[in-house]
Amino acid sequence: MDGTGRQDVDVFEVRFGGEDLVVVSLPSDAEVCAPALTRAEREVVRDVLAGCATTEIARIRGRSPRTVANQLASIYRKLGVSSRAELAARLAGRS
Amino acid sequence: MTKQDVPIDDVEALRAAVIRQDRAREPERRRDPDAASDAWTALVSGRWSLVDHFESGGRRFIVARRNPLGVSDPRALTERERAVAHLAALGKSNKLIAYELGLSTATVSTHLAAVIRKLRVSSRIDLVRLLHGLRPETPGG
Repeated sequence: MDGTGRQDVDVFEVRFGGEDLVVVSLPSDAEVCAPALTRAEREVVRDVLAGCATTEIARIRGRSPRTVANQLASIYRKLGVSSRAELAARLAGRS
Repeated sequence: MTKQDVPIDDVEALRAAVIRQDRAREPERRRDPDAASDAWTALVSGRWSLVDHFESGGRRFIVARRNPLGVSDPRALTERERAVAHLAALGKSNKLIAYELGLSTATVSTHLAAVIRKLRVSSRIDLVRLLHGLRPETPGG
């Protein structure tokens, strides 16, 4: 699985605030599945990945919680996932 | 507070510095396929302490402190917690994790809460985003 993401991983150091921090840099796959989603759905995905609850997303977007839940359901269906965690895993790893 | 507990007070400046450095490296970026699972091991064993993780410009960045040799973060995960983190990183639900490991869902949820606390991520989603690309093929490490 996720063999694509594994190829392009870099490790380097950044000097910050007087100490050397280690940084791992790897491709982000958040956009991989994006074309299949509508713009509203992509925005909902972004909010979900930011950790927002459905009701919070509804408030931010000025939509009813039911609308957001429907959009989320259609995201799940399109991406073949069944939970927020699976969605995050799916988008993080191209698996 | 130990040194490892001191948070970075200017996260935006840190992120900017990380992105600058990454851009500078781009022409001859090392492509090290093992780096991801090495990072997993370092994080779950307490050799590194997570400082920040974020996405920018099509890349994901994990920023950590290297703890002094032989001084591991007391937040190192136990073997069970690692196994739970490993499956959670795949997006599996607690019920599935419980089934695979032969534990009760309550135990899984306790382990997972400990993982989230120890790695200092804010939620299960945040944990999945941190660990997903790093997860080695086999649990443990």
